[in-house]
Amino acid sequence: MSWYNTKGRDDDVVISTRIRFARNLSGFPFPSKLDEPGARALIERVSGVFGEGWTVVDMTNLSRFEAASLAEKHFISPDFVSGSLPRRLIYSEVRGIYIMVCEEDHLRMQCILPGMALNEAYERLCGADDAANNALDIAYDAELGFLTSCPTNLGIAMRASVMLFLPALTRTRRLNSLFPQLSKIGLTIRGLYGEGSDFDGCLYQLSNQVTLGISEEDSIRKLNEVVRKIIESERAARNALYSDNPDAMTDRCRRAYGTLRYASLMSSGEFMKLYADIRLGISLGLIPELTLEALGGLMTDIQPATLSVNAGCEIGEHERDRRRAEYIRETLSATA
Amino acid sequence: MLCQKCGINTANVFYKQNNNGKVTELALCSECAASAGASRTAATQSGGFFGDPFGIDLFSSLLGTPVQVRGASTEKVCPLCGSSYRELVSGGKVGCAKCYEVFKEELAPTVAKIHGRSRHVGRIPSGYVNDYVNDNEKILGSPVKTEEQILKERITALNNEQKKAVEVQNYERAAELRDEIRRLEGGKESN
Repeated sequence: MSWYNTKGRDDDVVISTRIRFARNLSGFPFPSKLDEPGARALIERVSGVFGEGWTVVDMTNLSRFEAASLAEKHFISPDFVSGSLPRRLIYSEVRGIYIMVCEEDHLRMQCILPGMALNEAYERLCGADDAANNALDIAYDAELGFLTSCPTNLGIAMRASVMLFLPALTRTRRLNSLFPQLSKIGLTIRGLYGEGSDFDGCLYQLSNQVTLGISEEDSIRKLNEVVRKIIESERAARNALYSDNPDAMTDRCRRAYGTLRYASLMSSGEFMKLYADIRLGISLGLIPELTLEALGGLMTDIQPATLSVNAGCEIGEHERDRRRAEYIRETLSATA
Repeated sequence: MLCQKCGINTANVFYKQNNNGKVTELALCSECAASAGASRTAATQSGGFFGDPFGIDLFSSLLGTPVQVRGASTEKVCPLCGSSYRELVSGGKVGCAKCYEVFKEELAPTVAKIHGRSRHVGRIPSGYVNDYVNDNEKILGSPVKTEEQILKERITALNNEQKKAVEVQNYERAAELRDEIRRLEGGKESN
């Protein structure tokens, strides 16, 4: 089970939590200056640290869509899908930890968990980080902190983020006033899967921006506080939206459910809009036939490369739309 | 690398422009840069869930300012990865951990632009001896200072530096220092 098909805390608003550390080894050039033998030596050093309980994937053995599917599931970054150097993904599904070896930095270690789980993700990641720190000569400077390929990450070299589902704050345009406030306190938010500026899927990623001069704990504490406030605001805005016009809200959410349940062709873009409506409908109790758990990994499983992986070969756009609609129909009818 | 305009002089001014996702880079000599009056826009990128600030190529655009490039050493090369400072600028990435030591002076303005005058607090690799704390113990022969003492000293130092900046009429620097002092004191940065 992974983050995308497991129930998490506050998952009516927080889809997932992810924390990532960037680490480098002192004796090796950073990946942008590393040659193939160097990358192989680096991989060998790192692989020795994560033995039992860890799975190693040689990225060069994967097809393009298999690698892209890992990025769709957020196990790896889009940049890690292809590259000229040997690359490894070392992961432990039970820990929720995924380590990219030879990305922009030697190690990009992340813990990704369902729902709101910043503290837990941090604790788990520290365990893996301790293992790396004990066994490897990690590049560190007392003033600059962890040394990274890009100076923007110096210091704690940590990016903690939560994926938020904010349909009501989006529709009431209250997010617009939130954006500038966040940057003032060292946080950043951006839309995900949005087409243009409309953020059709109403999904956002909120993360820390500052890495030097703030500790990991303080950074996470601040993020936690802000996310709690956003959760409260979003829930209040949902109730207000519903109270304004209960029939219209019910109709919109149930129409989305109807379309998803019976359509024969479904593009990603249309899905994300309708998916936002059924998630909202479920949280307001307007679609009693469904639960958030029942949706499971729907959002991830219908992504283009993951559809290809499940089909066993790379498939074109029309076939994807057909298979996507079929998969959605099966998922929703199984739960109704 | 020769200037892309005149093709005669060595290029020492680098521009990077991001126009609706299309990134164009330009290497000019000082003369051509001055006559072209080229403008520079900060590079921005966007990506998926991972395309967060970890991936923003801010470094290159920050480094690519004429003043810093002109002042940089063109001879010095990192003994570990073989990078020159010029390569760091054009590539937008630091070559290795050693580069931070070798090009400490050249990188300092960039680090300050990104992070202010902050110093690392947070996790330390196990087994790492914190030189800063140890040096203080050695020099003072007294127990390690508390975080509050260190903070107070830094604010005093910054205040002195701010006064000096005002004296030489470097108001931009003075404003930066003022914001940093306010930040350290727990206040908000001015707009």
